[in-house]
Amino acid sequence: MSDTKPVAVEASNNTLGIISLVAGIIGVILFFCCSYISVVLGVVALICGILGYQQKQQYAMAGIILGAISIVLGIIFIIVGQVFLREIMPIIQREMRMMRF
Amino acid sequence: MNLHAKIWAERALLIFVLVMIVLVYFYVTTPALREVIRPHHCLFYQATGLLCPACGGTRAIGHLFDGNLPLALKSNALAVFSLPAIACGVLAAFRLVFDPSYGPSDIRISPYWLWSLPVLIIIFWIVRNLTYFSFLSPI
Repeated sequence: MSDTKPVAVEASNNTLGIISLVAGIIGVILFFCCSYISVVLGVVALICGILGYQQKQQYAMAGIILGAISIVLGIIFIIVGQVFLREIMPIIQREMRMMRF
Repeated sequence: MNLHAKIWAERALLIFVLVMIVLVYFYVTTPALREVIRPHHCLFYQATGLLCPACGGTRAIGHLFDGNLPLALKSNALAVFSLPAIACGVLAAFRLVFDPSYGPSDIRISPYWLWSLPVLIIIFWIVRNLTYFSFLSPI
């Protein structure tokens, strides 16, 4: 005798929420190497998150927060990236050469 | 109020996408502009000598504009293969604004496809740094 019973599964649509969350995660992961892409993904995450939040979709608020973090980190890195590259990076590279990394 | 916010967000998404496409087109096709507005060299590459997943992305789009697909694939295969997905996103943004019967809740993509994207990026990140897969490296 089979125990399987038909279960009514509610087909919830969280596409925009997940798009927002995924874009936010990728934006936060990439902010230190591709700041411009990070800002673009942050804006996409923010707008999709707002649209998804109005539809009461899951993950939308997480996407909005990650999108905002991604935009802020991206802009900070665009601004300070040049300074970091010129002033601090030679020191890091020298230390790494000494560590034979 | 909610409806206004929805319409605003949809229009903002479309305008943002269109502006980004125009900016990328001019940036990629104008060498003089690339000399003036030059993104800093990848900090990750400078610090570790490893390639990040977006490394070679601008070159890949530039080679695509020139019609050189093999070189575009070598520069950044992920950027080339993600273009159809980006095109679908642009079409969806267009439909959201201009098709009244199409709302945000009508956008349906399998969560598995969406979650596979960061996984794919991380796998590409690792693989293109391996010596055996040096054909994925733009350098």
